[in-house]
Order: sequence, then C-alpha cells, then structure tokens
Amino acid sequence: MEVLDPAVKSVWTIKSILRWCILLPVCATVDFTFFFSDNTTFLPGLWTGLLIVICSVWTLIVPKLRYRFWRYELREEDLFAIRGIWNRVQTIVPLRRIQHLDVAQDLIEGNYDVARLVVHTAGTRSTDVVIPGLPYEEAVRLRDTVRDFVAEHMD
Amino acid sequence: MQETSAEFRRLHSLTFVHYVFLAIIGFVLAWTSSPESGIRTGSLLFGVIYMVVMGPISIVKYVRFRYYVTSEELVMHYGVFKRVRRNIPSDRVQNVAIERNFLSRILGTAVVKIETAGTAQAEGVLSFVGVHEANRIRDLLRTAETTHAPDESISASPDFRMRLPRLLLSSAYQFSFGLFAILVGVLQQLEIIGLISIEATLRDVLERNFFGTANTQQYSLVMLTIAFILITLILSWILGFAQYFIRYYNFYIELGPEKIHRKFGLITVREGTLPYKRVQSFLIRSNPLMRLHDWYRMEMQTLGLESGERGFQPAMPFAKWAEIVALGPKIRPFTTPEAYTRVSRRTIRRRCLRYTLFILTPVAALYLWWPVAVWGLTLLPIAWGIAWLQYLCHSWSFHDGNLFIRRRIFSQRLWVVPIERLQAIEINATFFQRHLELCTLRVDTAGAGVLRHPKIIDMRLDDAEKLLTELYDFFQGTASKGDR
Repeated sequence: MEVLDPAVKSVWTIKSILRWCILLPVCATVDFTFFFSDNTTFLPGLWTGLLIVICSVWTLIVPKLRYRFWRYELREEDLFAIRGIWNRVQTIVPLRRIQHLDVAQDLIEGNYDVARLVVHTAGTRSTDVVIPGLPYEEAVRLRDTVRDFVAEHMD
Repeated sequence: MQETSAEFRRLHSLTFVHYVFLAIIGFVLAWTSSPESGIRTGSLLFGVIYMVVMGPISIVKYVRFRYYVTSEELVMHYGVFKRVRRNIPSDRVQNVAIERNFLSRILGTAVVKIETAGTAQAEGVLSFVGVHEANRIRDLLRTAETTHAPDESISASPDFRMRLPRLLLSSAYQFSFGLFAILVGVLQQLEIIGLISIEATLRDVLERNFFGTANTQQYSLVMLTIAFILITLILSWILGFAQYFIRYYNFYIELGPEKIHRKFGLITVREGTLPYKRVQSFLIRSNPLMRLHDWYRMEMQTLGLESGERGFQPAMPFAKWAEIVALGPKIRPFTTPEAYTRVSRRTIRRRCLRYTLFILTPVAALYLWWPVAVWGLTLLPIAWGIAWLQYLCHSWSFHDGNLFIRRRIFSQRLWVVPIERLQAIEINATFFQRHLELCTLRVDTAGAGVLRHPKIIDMRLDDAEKLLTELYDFFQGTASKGDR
C-alpha cells in the first residue's frame, strides 16, 4: 500500500498550530483580566500556558501519528484507504461509483507541493473520500487514471 | 424546440392569495405571542416594512416567472435580482410530485415539484399552478408510460391501500416522546408569555374532580407534576394520532411497469411517481407493541427526494409482515433469510463500559456538591440490562444479494440493502473496539442519511473482513454501468 508524502506532516503541523491559535486570543483575554483582579484562584497566565502546552504536545504527536496510519491503494476496480489514530477506518470505494473527482490544494499545501484527491460518490457517509498529502503530480495522475476508468465504464 | 414567448405561461393568478395568507398567519402569530405592547408595535412595524419591501418583490417575482413545458423539457425563466433560465430535459426527470395544501384545495391550485437524480431537493418548483395545469405538466413530463388517470382519480386496484379502519388503528400507535417533549416546551412557553397558567389549571381540575375546594392540602406539588405529565402524555398521543391521520389519509401505492405511484394526505395531498431504479434500500420499522400484533412500517430509501422525508419514502406506513414480504420484493427483489447471525457477545462488555463511563462521570462530578447524586449509580444495572438487550436485538444476514441488518430494542429497525446499490463500504474500529477485536461495518448507499444508515456494530474483526470481501465480490459480480 502507498504512504503519503512526508511533507504532509509539515502541512498538518502548520494547520494544527493555526487551529489552536484561534483559542489563543480567548485564553489571553481571560488571563489578562486576572492581572487586574484580586482573584487569586488561577495563576496569572495559566490558561495561555496550558493552551501552549496542549497545542505543542498535540502538534508534535498528532500529525506524525496521522501520517503513520494513513495508507491508500488504487486497485484495479476500487480505491482502498486506511486511516485514523483513535478510530481506525478502512474504506473501499468502487471506482464505478465515483461521481466526480477534484484535485485540491490550498496555500500551505501549495508551498509544500502536495495536494488532496477528493473523490465524490452519491453516498452520504463516504460522499467525499479525501486522500491528503499526495505529491501534486501523483494526485493528478491518480485523478486521470480514475477518470479514464470511469469514462471507460460509462461508455 | 423553438422558444417563443407565446408558449410561455405564467403561474396561477391566485398565487398572491397564498403569499397574503402566509403573511397574515405570520403577522397574527407574531401579534398574539407578543406579551408587551412594545413588541406588538414592533410586530406591526415589521409587518408594514415586510409589506412595503416584499409586496413589490412578490409582484416582480410573479411577473418574471415564466415557464413552458413540452414532452421534451421544462424551461423556467425566473429571478428578481438574478435572472435564471433553467432547462430540465424530461429524460432527466425522476419524479413529478403534486402537492396541495388546505388553501390550495379551496383555491384550486397546486405546487408541482420536479425532481431529478443527484439533487437533494426538487430542482424545479412551480408554486402555484392550476390543478389541470399541474396534471398537464405531470403527464407531459412523465416518460414513456402514463399509467395513471389524471386529476384526483384513484386507481381501482392499488397494490396497497390504507383504508379508514386501518388508518385509525395505525394512528392509535403513534405516540412519540419527541412530540411529548415539544408539547412540554410549548406549554412552558405559553405559561411564560402568560397565556396559560399550568399550576392554576391543574389545581382547578384536581379540586373540581377529586378533592373539592376545601381539601387543597391533600395534594402536593408532586401530584400536580404527575397530573401534568399524564395530561401532556395524553395530549401528545392525541396530537400524534391527528398528525399521522392527516398525513397518511387515503394512502395508496401502485406499482406501474417502470414507476411507483403514490398518493396520500388529507390537508396537503402528496402525489408522486418514483422510478424503481431510485430505490436504494428498505427500512422496515416496528416497536415491541406493533410487533406483538404483527404490524410494521416499510420505507424506501431513495436518492434525492424531498429533504422533508430525509430520503425515506413510506411504501407501506402500516402493514402486516405478510403484506410487506409480498409487496417489497416487487419494488426490489429480496427474500427474507431463515436465520440471522448475532454480532459478537463482546458488544455487551463494550457497551457496559461505555454506559458506565457515561453514568459515572456526571455522578462523580455532581457528588462533590450534591451527595444525593450517588443514587445515580442505580442506573448502572439498568444500563447493563439495556446493553444485553441491544446485543440480543442486533443481528445480520447476507442472503440472496441483500444485506439484512436488525437493530434496536424499542424502535426496531430492519434494513434490507441490495448490495448492487452500494456506494462504498467502510470498516470502522474505535480504540475500545480494537482492544476487543471488534469493529463496525457500514454500507453506504446513495442518499442515505448521516444518522440513519445501515451498519453492523461490534462484529468480530475477522468476521467483518470476511463479510466485506463477500459483499464486495458480490457487488463486483453484479455491478454494471446501468447501476450508476
């Protein structure tokens, strides 16, 4: 089975930091109010410190584990993917069920030259099967292979 | 087909009556539920603004909306701020539904909803047109065969029909705790805005009927609460009865050569056709009381029909098992399996652990401030009992190309999933499941709900992998481009 591009670890790390940063202003504001209060229930800077510690541990561990457990394989008639740290998920998407395909790349992924292959089916739970962290050329190649298969079986 | 302005038609002129009626209802609701004069003035002001802004927009909307229909296509031109021109070829039309609510029936109008494959909602909506025009549109867009008489006529021999005695009986089974919760909420809200006083009303009822005015000390707040719950339970049952009766009045289903035709409803009459190809799976529901008397409800999970039905269309709202196994296979072939395989017995252990955590966590947290919370631990044996019952009620069988999944204790469900319709298969194992070598197998079909979808919870991992291979091999053997 294929593994993802190791560069995806950096992408996930950056995205993880950005997500945690959303909470930073909230924690900083709460801590800031304690500086001007007589309330000594919490140590000054406790919440911001706690956030930084959790964020650091999460960011150091989770992207690596996610990468470690991500595997995919484009087989003759289906796409097979295994992923998940806590919930281990195996999905089989028959290629003949694919409705359309996207190769998506955001700013951070673009910087590392990786992309996502988004596979849409008519199903609900597995409507969008996303294979992240593919080298851009590989994502395009996969898309074209699947597209050719779908076109061939539509005729 | 050449488009000429002469062929275009406008919506029914009484469309405005519907708009005005809706506006009046909204205004009356806002007015009556406003306890203070300030808010009432606000409602009045909002009503005036609404009329000033929405009135001209509604007129422009009506004037701009034009359509024409031929046996080849439906063309609609509409839009106030954005002009839209939509062509729906008739070979893409999957269902033409005609809906008539109470006002529509008085005015002789109808809403026509045109649904195509791959959309979650109706792609073309004509609200409102005359009844004859609605039937003309439906007949023109129906592909190939037109097996049903137009207008309000009902086929002489439908494949299944809910006659009045059965409708009354089935309505009597319609009690839902959801409706009870809504009713409690509404009553509380009415009390807050001062329209009713629950306690005073109950005291009055008890004094008049049971204790007399002199003995007010004989009943406590606990008795008032019990009386409130009992009365609300009866009210919610009556509401459930009425809701079901109105919805499924005169339900009938007829199986044509290529499409299923259904019609039902008392106030809003729903009528529609559904191609067999769009039926993805069956869901047969029941509860212990219904099962005791051999009553079931069969629904068809379809692709892209109205979101109001969440992709589930009633095929037989209330039927005997023999009727279900007689009609269901005519829609999509299936034969019921002789035996079912239970999921792993370890599911009891996993569920017990899960429920124990769910109970222990709040009890432990509450105990710090409120020691009485320790009584919450009495829920543990109940939860373990439920886990055991869930194990007994959950089983599956792969038989004759269909996957049968039975689940749930009270709201019992039996899924019948034709494997040739599957979109994807998923094996999901959480941390606890992996520890017990268990997993959940999910079969995804087109248009299945996120919450209501077929799954086998807590299969042994090796059994799941074996079943997955078996299902997928069967799928590969039957799948063809025609199934897409």
